[in-house]
Amino acid sequence: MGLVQIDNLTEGMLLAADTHDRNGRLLLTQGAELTNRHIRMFMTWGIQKVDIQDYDEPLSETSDGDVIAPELLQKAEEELKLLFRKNDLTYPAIIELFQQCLTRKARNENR
Amino acid sequence: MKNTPDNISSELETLRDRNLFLEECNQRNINILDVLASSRDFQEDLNSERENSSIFKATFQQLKRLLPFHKMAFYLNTDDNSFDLSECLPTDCSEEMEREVDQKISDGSFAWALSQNHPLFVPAIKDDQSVVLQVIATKSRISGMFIGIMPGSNSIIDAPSQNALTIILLNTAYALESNRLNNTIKDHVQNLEQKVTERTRELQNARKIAETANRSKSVFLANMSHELRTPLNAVIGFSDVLLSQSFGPINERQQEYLGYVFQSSRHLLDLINDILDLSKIEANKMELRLIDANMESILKNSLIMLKEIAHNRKVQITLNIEPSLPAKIRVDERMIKQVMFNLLSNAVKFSPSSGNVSVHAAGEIKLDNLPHNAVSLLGEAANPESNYLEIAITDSGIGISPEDLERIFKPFEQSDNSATREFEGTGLGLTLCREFLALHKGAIWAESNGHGTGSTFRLILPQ
Amino acid sequence: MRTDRPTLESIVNSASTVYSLPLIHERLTQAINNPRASISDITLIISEDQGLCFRILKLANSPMFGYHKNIDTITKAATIIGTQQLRDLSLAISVIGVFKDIPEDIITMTSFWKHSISCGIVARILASCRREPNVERFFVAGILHDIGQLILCTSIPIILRDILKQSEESNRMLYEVQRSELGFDHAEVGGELLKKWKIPLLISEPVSCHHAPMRATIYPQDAALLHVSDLIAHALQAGSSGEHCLPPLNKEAWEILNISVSSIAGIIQQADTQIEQTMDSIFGGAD
Repeated sequence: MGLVQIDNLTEGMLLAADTHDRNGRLLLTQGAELTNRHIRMFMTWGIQKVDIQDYDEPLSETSDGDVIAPELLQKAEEELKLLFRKNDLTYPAIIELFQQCLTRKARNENR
Repeated sequence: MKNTPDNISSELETLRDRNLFLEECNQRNINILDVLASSRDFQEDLNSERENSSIFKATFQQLKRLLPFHKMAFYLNTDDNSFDLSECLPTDCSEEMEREVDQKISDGSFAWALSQNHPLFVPAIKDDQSVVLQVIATKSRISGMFIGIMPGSNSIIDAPSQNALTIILLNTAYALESNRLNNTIKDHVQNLEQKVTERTRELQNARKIAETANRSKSVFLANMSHELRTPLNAVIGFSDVLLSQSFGPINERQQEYLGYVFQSSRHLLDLINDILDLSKIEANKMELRLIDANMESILKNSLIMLKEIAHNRKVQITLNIEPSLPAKIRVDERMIKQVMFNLLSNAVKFSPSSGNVSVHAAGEIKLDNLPHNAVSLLGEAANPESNYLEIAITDSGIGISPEDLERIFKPFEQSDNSATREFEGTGLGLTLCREFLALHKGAIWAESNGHGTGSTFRLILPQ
Repeated sequence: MRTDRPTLESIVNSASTVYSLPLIHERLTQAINNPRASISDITLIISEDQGLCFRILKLANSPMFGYHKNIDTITKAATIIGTQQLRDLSLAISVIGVFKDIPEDIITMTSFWKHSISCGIVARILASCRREPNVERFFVAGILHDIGQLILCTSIPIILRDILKQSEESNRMLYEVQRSELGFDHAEVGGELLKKWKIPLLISEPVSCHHAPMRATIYPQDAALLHVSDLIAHALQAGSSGEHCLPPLNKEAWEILNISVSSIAGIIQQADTQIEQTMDSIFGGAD
């Protein structure tokens, strides 16, 4: 598995993961065998790199689950609750914004 | 600054130039407004059209009025996320368009244009031309790309025209989208219609088969009953004649055996007649022959016919007729006679030796005074306005268990008690009674307090 | 009641004599609307201001645009980004230049602009989500949304300092205290100045109403978008415009935008990758 530059793609390569465009539109599903039409299609949508099965270069970014200490998370939550004190914390959009800010804040402070 | 003639003339020059410029802007803006105003017709066109190609042609017309495109093309987004040439103007420019698009895809400007929602101006392959790319997209869906080629290498169009271009192509996007949705709906409708047609055909076939089968059954039954009755009548007739000894004496054993032949063949004939009646009712072919009949005489005649059996079994029959029983009632006399005979002969048969059978008949009864199950048995035929007559036949027999009270009216069911086996009937008697009464908008049911307490069969008929 | 209580009109009038919109905006607007003008005319106008030129190119090559190739000339920027978009970007950059000498004793400028730019970036991302034709005008509106605050800083510093203190002590939103103390808030001040500058209503009305989006009568959706962007920018805690906490979300505004809750994560992620480099493009020196 490895990310391959669009210029280095050849027919017959197998896709290791679903490929989306920058707005999240699904272009091709995992396991598809690439044809020249696919490669041209990727270029059409501005895809730069594609995840290919059995490709030598290892994926560089594999660390998506960094562990956050609970006390950091708690501290971040307290601060955010203060920041959000004028908002309705039961409203769906606010709940989501709060959650996203919480993980973001805790992760930033972890680093 | 002094107002020297030089200054004044240069200022005049500037003002004249400014005036010219404003007039030009004004003219251009009027033109854009005209094009956009005429897009009302264009939209109506788009709404009525169901072919993408006519949407493209209408858009080409519109764009030509707006900008000096000399070549235009639409690329449509296909199911596999590629973009294929769909329509171009003039029609022979497809090769040039394909070359331009290939180049724009490889240099990334095609992808860039897809992500923007405004026209993108890029150099064409030929030096003296420029290419305009604008995505055709609604808020939710990218449906294609517009490509236009204009003369001039460095040309870029003014902001109002760019915005007008965006607006027109947004209309096109919605027209394409509505077209796509329309086609989807049409497909669904067609699919649905096809399914309905298929299903209807299946049902028609099934009905035809069922009708044919039913007709064959009726024909078969009519034929069979005729075929069976002819020899059976011979058996009954000749055994009767032999029993009467008109053709000479027969010994006692011969008489006994001939008696069995006669009884059994009579029974068989009854069974055939019952089956025929039932099948006529099932085929809705039973017709009522209504006449003004006298209920009292029907009852009395039935009792006369049973007198001998009752006498042999030492069963006492009492008849109690209330004055309220109407003198005349409009019924199919044959059916009602058969019902009464069936019920009375059952009562006599099921009563033990030295038992009692009582018959009670009354009229002028309203539905309100009848038990609840009577009304539910009548169903739709129930008429609260009408007066009903009621005949109740009570025997002192072994009675009927509660779970059998309804079951005995089903074809070929009898109260499952070994004691009844010795009086085998056709098994269709009570079923026919219920059907005959239903044809008269009447009803019949049985009542019993259980084993050993006797039973009452109660029937009602509208007066 | 204060005897010297200032009016909205008086504040904006005096501000407009101190701060004037750079001529370049008017000239660019004329050029892009001119049926005769060519791309080189537009390029020429921008190239006259070396600083602007430098910042626009830096911005055009930042992750905010994410164009995969180098944009090294204004001509190229005009074709890739679009002419109206270029005009709007230069408006944003030059307005920031207009307010560069504000004394920092009430509000720290870097912090102020960081919040404004964050708001602009979020607004631009939200506008892309909604497939708006020109997303740069939302970027401008975001950058300009709190300039009223800067005007209040210079025109009535003592009153503003008092209002800030009151808002902190009474746990009320700054704009609420402004409304009760002055009769108007910083949003209206900013909007009025933009109107004086003849910036189209498309930008000035949303700025005026970003704390009361449903009061917008002409561009309520744009005002709603700016209101939500301001909120998200506050939640990102990048910089500050003087508010001590997140303004309450106007639910009606959120609903008319018709943005799914699930897209919030992506919006924040995108904004995070853009804020620092956009700050650097607009304020940083040469590489």
